[in-house]
Amino acid sequence: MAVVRIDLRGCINCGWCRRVCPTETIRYFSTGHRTHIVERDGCIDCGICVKVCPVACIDPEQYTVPEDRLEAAKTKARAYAAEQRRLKLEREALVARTLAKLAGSTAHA
Amino acid sequence: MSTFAEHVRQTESRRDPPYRPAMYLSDAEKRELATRIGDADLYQDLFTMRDLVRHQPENIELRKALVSGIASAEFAGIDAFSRKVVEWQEWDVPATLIMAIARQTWDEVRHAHLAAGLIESYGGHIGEYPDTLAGSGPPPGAAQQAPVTTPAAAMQQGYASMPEQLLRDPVVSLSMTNVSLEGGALTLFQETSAVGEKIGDHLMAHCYDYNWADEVTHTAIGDFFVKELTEDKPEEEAKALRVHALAEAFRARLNGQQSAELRAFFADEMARASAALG
Repeated sequence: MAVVRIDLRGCINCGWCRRVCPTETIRYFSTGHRTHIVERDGCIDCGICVKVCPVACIDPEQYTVPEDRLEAAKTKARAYAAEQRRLKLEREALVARTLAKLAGSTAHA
Repeated sequence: MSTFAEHVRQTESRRDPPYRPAMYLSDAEKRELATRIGDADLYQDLFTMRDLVRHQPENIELRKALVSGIASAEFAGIDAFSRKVVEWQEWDVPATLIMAIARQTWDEVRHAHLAAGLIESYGGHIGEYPDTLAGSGPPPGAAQQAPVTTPAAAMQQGYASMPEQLLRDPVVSLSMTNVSLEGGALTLFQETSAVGEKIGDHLMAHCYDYNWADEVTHTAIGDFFVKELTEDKPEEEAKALRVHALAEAFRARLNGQQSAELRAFFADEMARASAALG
């Protein structure tokens, strides 16, 4: 199986990969340096970071994640996906409420 | 003797039409804004404004409001980066950095032109909607500050709480603005472009795709020069990382791990600060 690694020569530290990683396995502040690092035992090879990287500096790397770590990472990803879905529904509810208010104020105008 | 940089520092930000910060709107102005977008408190939250446009593409007012909100940051960018071109000539920085920031200033001018054109294509004009950033600060008699609802406004309030001399420091400014803020803005521009594509507003899609590409360049400029200015200077690198962390904390759109990592980072910082102070 593959995981991903960040080519630090090309990385511009925009942090997009870190913000979208569903297993939250990309570290920045805790490295103590201005470097984005993938902790590969937490990588499930979903490829989301590769898609968003604006400078295409994230590449696959052959590495087999120990089974227990992989399972833990997948559990984390599922929880992350559930949380993202909850936030999406919350945002959509806010939009619906706002559009209803807008319709109300337009009707009164 | 007064230097040109001092003169620039003492000159307040101005625009025609004048800045009208959303965070200082009167109640009457808020009510008027609410009749256009549904809820005035959401105006500064560009991500929600983008979602409103996606859900009601036929509503041109919402498009005007979204683009006006983003345009406000472009005007603030023109002001801020052009000041740095002058001020940083007083610092020990490479001439290429000054040139890069001059280029960035013109990029922001182009973005403001694009936004103005886009708003005009919707039948509006700059100044019709309030500014999401405060420009030169609160207008005279402004009563109270609205809650911070936008990353850009949070950054601005965060900036306001930092010592002025620190904010002039190129390492601090590049790390906070170019790398963190512009790096974070990549998401908004990419998603706004996608919304334009989805609702058949190809001009919107094209404009924000163009802006997105410039933001990548600005982030790269910031990262390149932070590396150059902090090379073999661990204290400077730590400072760059610290203000990047601060900028992310101001924006506060973080998931659990990111929040935990930031908390741990600041706890470590506090421990080191306590040790240094004895």
